[in-house]
Amino acid sequence: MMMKRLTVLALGAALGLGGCEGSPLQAFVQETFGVGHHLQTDAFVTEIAPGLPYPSPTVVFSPDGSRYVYSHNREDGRIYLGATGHPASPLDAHAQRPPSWSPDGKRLAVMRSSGTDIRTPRWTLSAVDLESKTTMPLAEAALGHTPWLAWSPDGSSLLYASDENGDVNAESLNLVTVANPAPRRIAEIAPFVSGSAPALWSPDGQQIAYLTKVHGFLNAFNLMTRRVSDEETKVLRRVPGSTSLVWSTDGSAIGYLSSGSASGEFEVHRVLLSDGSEEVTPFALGGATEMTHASGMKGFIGFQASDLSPDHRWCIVTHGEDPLYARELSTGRHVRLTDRNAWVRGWTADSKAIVASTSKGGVDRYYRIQIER
Amino acid sequence: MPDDRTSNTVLLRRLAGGLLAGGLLLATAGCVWVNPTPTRGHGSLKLEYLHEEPLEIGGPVHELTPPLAAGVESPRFSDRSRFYVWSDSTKGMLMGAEISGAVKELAPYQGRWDIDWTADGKKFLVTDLAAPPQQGPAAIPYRTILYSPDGEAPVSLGEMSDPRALVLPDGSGLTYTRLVNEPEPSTMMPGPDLRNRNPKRLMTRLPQQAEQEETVLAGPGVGYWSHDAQHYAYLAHRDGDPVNGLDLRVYDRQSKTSALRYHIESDDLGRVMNGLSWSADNTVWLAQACQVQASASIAVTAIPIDGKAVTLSIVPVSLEEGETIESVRLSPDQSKVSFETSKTVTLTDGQGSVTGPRSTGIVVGYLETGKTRRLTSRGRVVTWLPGGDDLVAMTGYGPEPWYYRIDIPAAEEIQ
Repeated sequence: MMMKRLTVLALGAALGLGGCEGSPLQAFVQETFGVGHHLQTDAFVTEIAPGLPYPSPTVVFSPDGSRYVYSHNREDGRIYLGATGHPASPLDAHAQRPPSWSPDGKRLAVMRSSGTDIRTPRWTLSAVDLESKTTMPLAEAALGHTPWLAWSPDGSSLLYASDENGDVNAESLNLVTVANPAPRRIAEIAPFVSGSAPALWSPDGQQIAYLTKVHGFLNAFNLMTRRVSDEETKVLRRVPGSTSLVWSTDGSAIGYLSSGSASGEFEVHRVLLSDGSEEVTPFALGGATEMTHASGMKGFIGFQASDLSPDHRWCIVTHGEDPLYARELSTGRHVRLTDRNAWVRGWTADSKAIVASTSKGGVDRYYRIQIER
Repeated sequence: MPDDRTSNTVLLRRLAGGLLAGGLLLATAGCVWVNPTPTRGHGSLKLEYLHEEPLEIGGPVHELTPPLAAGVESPRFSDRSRFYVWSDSTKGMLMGAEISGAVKELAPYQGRWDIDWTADGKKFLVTDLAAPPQQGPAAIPYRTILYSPDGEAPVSLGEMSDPRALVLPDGSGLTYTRLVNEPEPSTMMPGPDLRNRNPKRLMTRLPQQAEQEETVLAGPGVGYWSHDAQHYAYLAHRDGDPVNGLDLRVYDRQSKTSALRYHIESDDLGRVMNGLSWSADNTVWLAQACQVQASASIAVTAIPIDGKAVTLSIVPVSLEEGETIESVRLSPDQSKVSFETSKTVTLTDGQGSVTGPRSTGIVVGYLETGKTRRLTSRGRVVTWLPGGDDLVAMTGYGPEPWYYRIDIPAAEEIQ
């Protein structure tokens, strides 16, 4: 009898302490015995979102880097908010996509699935005020396959795409103002292209850039600009779509990285806002090298250049499991950033650091990695 | 080092919680691991996406006869012959049949790669492993054998280390391309499509002879040989950049020179290649769709190797909102075009989604009259059949599609 009581007590305690999937125990077991690695931290590499659940969600940091949020996979997308370097606490708000910080860090834009018909997925777009903890609905729409949001630099408005008619070639670009949420269709844009920013705000908030489809082309798009004040729209240049566009912090150019015609060759493209002309700077990182996978299979692995910094000064260089490097594009100088490879999540707004993550057994850790040493 | 402390604090907290809970779990031998929020897989979404109702048989739509049984792998149809070929994995045999004819056992196969027909439709090349596949890494070459549907003795065109060889349209030998810097290192990381951007060497090899480098093709360097195997029409990125579209160039095997013949404002290789063909009089034909929202047309352009390109016919097409034109193909007699219409469908269940095009029908357009006729409400064209009076179509997105033969109404029957 005594033994039976003990067994029931132990089982209850074990489950209560975390014997369930997604619990601290699960995270501990996964991280201890799982495949993967984490980075060594030091004065330049600091962990910034500790204690993430398993499986780990996508973490989004506030523009000033002081706070972070994520949408919990196992709690109907409940949003957790934390101060950088400390575990997060739940908010009374939910989202099925990673939330998006307003540039002033006062609000979150969140997307929650609101439809029930699997053929016509619909989403509710809301703004969560982090001071008053209130949620304000902004729009309800079919947001397409990969919904996204872009805050205006002053935090007053949001851009998003909607896809009401299922047209594979075009979606609607909409603008909604938080103070007066009456969504307005402002342009027809190309559907979300993987790796690309669907629409960008200029740093001064005076212009919007977006991509439109070019008939007959799969991977070439017209880069359009539109002035907010008088809605004047023009084609700036034809650009490839499978690139991430970055509007330079000085507002003079929209840049992207592309691959050359051989392994290890890359180009920095800067499309000048003044006349649509392009500055192209090629650089080479070296050819692919032979490697043997843990399974015994032999293959080749090449260099990758990605993640142009907001000031167009740096990009990130990766090579298999090797450490991350930052390349100063004007000089070719490389700065070693980490002891191993990590997934680059983005740049801080001041171009002085990147946020990167690692995963071990499905448990992620996030790091702020300073560029200059 | 505050971040080391942070990291260690979390690890210690997890370690302590883990040890305590783990110890208690071990003490409760036989306890059940509970998953409070079971997740649903995405299999049902995928199955729903892959499902497509078969076509109703009747009128111009016929079941393919002889039908393709279960276990059939990769049937190959052609607009050069009414004979079609497939692999039967249950028998380990290469099989073939003329449409509405009897099934023939052609030859045993080891590991079939591809089938390619000569221009006259009298022979087809099979690339097949020269020996049965083995466990573990083994470099087995591919044999290339020219078969005849009429039962003529097969002709070996030699062995290849790479199976990507086609037959020269006159049946005289093999042709293939190689990257200029081959052996090409294929990067294990996702990266640029080097094969499409790099220049390629166009090669030919005649039986019992050494391979010949014909010319170097600028990327993407994909194309077709003319019926007499004396010219090669291929596509090259203008100025080496895909955003500038494709130049159609023709290589002359006698003079060993290439000339620009036409420019195509597209980077959609699959779509352009579908609409590109040679006729026996050494003319390159290009059938292209032009679509602006629901208003579309099909333009057919003839590009003679020694004359000016002429757009001969424009077929106007009306579409529903959200529909796009896919797979424009010119009939072998250059009198009609077939194409499909499709809409993009996204299925979402809150935990995942599947997105892709779904066919909304097969349409045929007549170049002389500019009229169109919708043949089906779903399905895809596999190929025209010789003469251009019928075609092979299929339905089903899964591993076992249904095949049909569809009669094309004569132009004068279309109001």
